[in-house]
Amino acid sequence: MRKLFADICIYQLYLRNLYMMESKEFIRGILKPLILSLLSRKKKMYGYEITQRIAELSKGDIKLTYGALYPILYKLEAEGSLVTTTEIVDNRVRKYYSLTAEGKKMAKAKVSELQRFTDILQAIIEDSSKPQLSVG
Amino acid sequence: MKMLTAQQRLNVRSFLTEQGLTFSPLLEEMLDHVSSDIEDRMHEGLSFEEAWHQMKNDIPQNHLQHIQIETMATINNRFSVSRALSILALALMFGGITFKILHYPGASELLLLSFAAMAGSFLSGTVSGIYFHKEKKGAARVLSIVAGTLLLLVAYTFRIMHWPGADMLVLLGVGVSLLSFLFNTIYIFRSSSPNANLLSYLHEKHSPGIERFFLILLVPVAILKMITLPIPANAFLGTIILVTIIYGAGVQFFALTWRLLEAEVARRNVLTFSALVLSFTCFILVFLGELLGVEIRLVLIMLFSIFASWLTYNIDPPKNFLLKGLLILVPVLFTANVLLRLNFLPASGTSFVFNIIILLLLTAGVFVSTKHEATRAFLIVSLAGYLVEYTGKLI
Repeated sequence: MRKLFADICIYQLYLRNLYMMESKEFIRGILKPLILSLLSRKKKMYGYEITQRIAELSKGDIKLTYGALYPILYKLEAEGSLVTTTEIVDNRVRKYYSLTAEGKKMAKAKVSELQRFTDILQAIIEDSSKPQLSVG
Repeated sequence: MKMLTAQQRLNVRSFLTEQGLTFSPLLEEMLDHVSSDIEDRMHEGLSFEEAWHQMKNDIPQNHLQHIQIETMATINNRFSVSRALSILALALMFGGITFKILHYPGASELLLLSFAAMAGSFLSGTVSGIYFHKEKKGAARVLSIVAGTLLLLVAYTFRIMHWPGADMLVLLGVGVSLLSFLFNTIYIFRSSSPNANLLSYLHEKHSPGIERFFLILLVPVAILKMITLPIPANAFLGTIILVTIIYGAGVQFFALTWRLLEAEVARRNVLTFSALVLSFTCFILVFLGELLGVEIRLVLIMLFSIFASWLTYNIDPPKNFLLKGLLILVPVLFTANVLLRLNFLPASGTSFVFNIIILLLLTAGVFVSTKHEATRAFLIVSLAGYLVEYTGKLI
């Protein structure tokens, strides 16, 4: 019985790791709209704050690899979607990101694109879970 | 909320540097990220050591280096027009020199096009930088440096083509450059937030590319110079490239000096300010060229080498024995050169100042100074200057 319980625990751990690994690529793909969406709701945010907010809102299911969001933040800044300001907080430099006018438009577009995509996925999943009719 | 002590922050910074983070904007940001993370864990009841250990375990091997590579790739893509133009400038410059060696027509035109491509690269990099970073301060200061450099490029084009008005343009270029350098130096010495300075921000992004550009120019020209010896210096085909390298690497040296001083308040004092102002004044005045007597130019070069070498030693102190030695040798060489040219020393002394051993030492210095950007820029200027002055035999 104890062995069975240990096996179940290991299996659950395996499934969780598998989920984490596969979801990593998926999360990478949606990180841009996620960041834009968070920033559209708050005037300015710093890197660590964004990571924490994503973890908090996803109830810990989306945990970004350390610093993984910075290349995307720099990209969005270079594209002109974000602007940065710096402040000295607790004796260290803190860089805040906020949306530009162009970034606000992009945030709207990306979020609705993502919403549409999830609706499509939902429709496909719901359809495939229905009993299949064999034809011919 | 528990906060990290100064020593703990220093530990985090050294850890990030050891992990390969060298790009300062990302380093500062990661420092804040890691510190905030550790403080959060400490807030949950862990000691600093426990939080620090946990945090380190969360970072996979070479991960931060990958993040930096990815970030740099993102930034570099932004400035592709600038990079394409700089490659074109290099190709045209070498094309022009080859045409001249082979006595083909159009060599001068190729050199001029190379100048135009260089100006285009410089302009597109800075103008797009100003456009995309409106929140940063100092667009006028950046533009003043661009204006001074472009004026000098145009002025030297006029000189090469023997067009009228060249002297006036040279005077204007030197004047604008001097003022722009002075404004930037004063700003740096009064600045309190390095991250808001547009010039430092743009320079940091472009600095590796600028350094690469001048190294690619310098190596073949140095070889060419050695092959064409003992042709007198004024007949030397690559002199125009060497002068371009001296100006470009010189501006790079001062920009690096500003950044080092901006990052470290403790290094800003009357001595570093005076050395900086004196060194850039001597450096820029040399570009007046024939408007000044050759003796005055030689003395200015000597003074620049003394002030700049002292400055480099104080703000970017190298640990390497060769580099330390070269920072002493360079001013000695340029002082000896003045004494030789003004006949204070016998002509037989020329071979002590200009010989293959010193040339190889200077070249080695340029290649081993990878971790000391300011030292490297100073040595590139010195090596190019040494090659211009080199008129004796190779051995």
